[in-house]
Amino acid sequence: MVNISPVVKAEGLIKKFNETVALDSVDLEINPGSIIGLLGPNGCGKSTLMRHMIGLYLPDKGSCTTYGCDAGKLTQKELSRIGYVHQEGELLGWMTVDQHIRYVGAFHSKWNTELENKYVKDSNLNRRSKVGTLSPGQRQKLSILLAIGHEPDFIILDEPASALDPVARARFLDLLMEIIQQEQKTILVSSHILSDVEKIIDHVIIMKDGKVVRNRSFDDLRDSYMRVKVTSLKDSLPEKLPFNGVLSCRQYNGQAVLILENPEVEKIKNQAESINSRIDFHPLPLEEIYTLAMEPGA
Amino acid sequence: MKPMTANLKILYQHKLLWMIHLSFISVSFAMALNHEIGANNSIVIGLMVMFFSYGSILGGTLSEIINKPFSFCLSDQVKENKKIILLIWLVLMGIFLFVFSRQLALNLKNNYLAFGLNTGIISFGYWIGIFFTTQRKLNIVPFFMPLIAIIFIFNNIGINIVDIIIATPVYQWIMLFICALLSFVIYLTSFNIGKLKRQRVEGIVKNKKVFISSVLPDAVSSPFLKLIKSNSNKKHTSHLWGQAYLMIGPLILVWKSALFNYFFWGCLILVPYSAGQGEFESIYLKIGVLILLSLCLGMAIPGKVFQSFLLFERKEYFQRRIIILLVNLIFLLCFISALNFISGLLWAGFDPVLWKLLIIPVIMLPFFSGIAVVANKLDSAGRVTLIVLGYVVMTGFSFWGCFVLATASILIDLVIIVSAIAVTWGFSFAVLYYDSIKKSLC
Repeated sequence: MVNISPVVKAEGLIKKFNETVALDSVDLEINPGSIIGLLGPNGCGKSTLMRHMIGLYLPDKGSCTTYGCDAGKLTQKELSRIGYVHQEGELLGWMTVDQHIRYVGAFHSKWNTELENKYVKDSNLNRRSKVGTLSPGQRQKLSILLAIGHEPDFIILDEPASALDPVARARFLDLLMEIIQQEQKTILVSSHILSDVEKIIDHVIIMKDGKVVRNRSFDDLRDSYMRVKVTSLKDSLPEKLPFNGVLSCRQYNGQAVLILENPEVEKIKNQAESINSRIDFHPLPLEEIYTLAMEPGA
Repeated sequence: MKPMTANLKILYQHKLLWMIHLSFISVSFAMALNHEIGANNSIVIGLMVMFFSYGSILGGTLSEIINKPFSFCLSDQVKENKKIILLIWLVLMGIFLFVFSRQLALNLKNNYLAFGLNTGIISFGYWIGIFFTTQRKLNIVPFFMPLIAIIFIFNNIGINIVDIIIATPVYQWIMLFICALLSFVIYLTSFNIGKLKRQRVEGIVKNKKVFISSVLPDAVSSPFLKLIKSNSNKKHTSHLWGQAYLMIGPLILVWKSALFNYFFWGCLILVPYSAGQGEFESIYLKIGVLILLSLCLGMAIPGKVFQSFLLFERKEYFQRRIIILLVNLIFLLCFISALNFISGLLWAGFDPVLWKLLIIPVIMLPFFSGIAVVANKLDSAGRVTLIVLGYVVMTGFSFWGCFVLATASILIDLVIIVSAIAVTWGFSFAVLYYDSIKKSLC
């Protein structure tokens, strides 16, 4: 069996800002080739975790390694394999778009000019515009290009689409799909636009109050919740339904809509038959799964 | 409740004002005693600076508080503010008079003299503070105004006139362009972060007009980019050129205003200042100016980590900061040398900033860069402590400079200078290294 070393490995990672605990004993591994959605409410520690991965933050306790190297000691070798899009997109305002691209490109031995030209054209970036005068959306587009132009193996996207309009967001998603399909890239994306995220990810990490509360493959997570529609073949359903793991239940006119946790499909079918009813299964969208995970006591 | 009472009640809920008043009482006693302890001119000047600063802090702070929206929910009471300012000034003078009346038995004539001079200075500071704050200028004037006052004392009439003509725009320029750097060390930052941020934004908007209209020519950017690329196998050289590009590019972009601000105004203020000063006391001032310039450039060291493009290892980030430190030092030495040279050409019988004093930036610039990094990480209380420490070091260093120049032999000079260089560079290296390698970068 081939032992694949993880791209990122965090063990007992703790980070505090004064009295606020930003990361509370975070343990996780990110394997090469995975596309991970890092989800959580504002201030739950997503950006802090990402900044540990690229070495901008250092842990108070525990460790965080990227490509086997302590993140605080990342060398050019590892850094050149990472692309990072920051939600605020700090750029050099006095340069033109073209000068900025060439400045960053000059530091990288492999800079994909073809990708650069295509991206600039697709995203309507004017090379002669001053970076300081770009709109937030345009700045974000430029940040994305600067993060992917050197063809990194590991792309970290911290709210990459927050300032993009719907069309630009769709193009950005297309670009991501292209990158994903071309080579085996590892992508970690944090976003509040979950409908976008669920189109690309294969793994989900959900954070809450500095802790990782879910860390599973997206398929597993999706299978662990199910919307079940129960329709009585007679007039009405019994008041108490026989299913386990019911998170919510709404009944009306001989029908019930339930959300079940860890549903066992065969067992549920049998139970439905026992109360003389028909049953339909519907997977939950990521947004609903996320909402459930965020509920107190979840 | 009368409007005046209501206003004062709200005003004195601000702890800051109480703190300022308490410090004033101790200051006034020191002032009353200064002629009794046989103070020489240097001490008198030092005290004058302190009194002026006190007056302007009080005036500025007061003005700040009562001008804040919603601090006083009293409509149509515009005159009340003026009344309060006048009332507090009168009370201030009353306290002052009381303190002096307790000292009269010691030396009547000198005390009346000191009282007249010092109340004048405090009042001047007080009204300057109020004027500049209500004019919506960042109130760092107190830091610079004592220099003007001292120039008056030591310079001849001709030089004073030139200084008066140029002082106002020059100090305004200083406020606009370097106050952000100075602010971490100057007391007012701790009191008025909001105003400082507004000032920065105004500065950015002002600069943005230049940035929008001008583009760095490719003829300037291309050589740098080629040098970065051609040295990509030698990362350190590559980053050195990258840093040079980042430093020189913006300067070239605004070359007209840079040239005008840095050299034209700089020379105008400093040439008459440095000329015609042959007195021993003037060395104190020259050292002060050199320290001030070292402070400005030293504070520019921290540098920025651009999260959007991960170009630097931490070790390279540290090296980049050292490069900025060295470049700033070279720039400052060139500036002072040019000033000395121009002074020599323009003023007959001039006494320029002594060449020997050029060692001051070499010692102080790294010290301030280290302090700037430490200050960045501190809360308000920490910054105030640092400011006090900064004042002690700056004042101590100034007096030490005078002493060394006046008395010490070349050997002692050398030993002290080499030790000071080793200490401040060691301090700066240690702080920058620790901050770059061992601390979070954003």
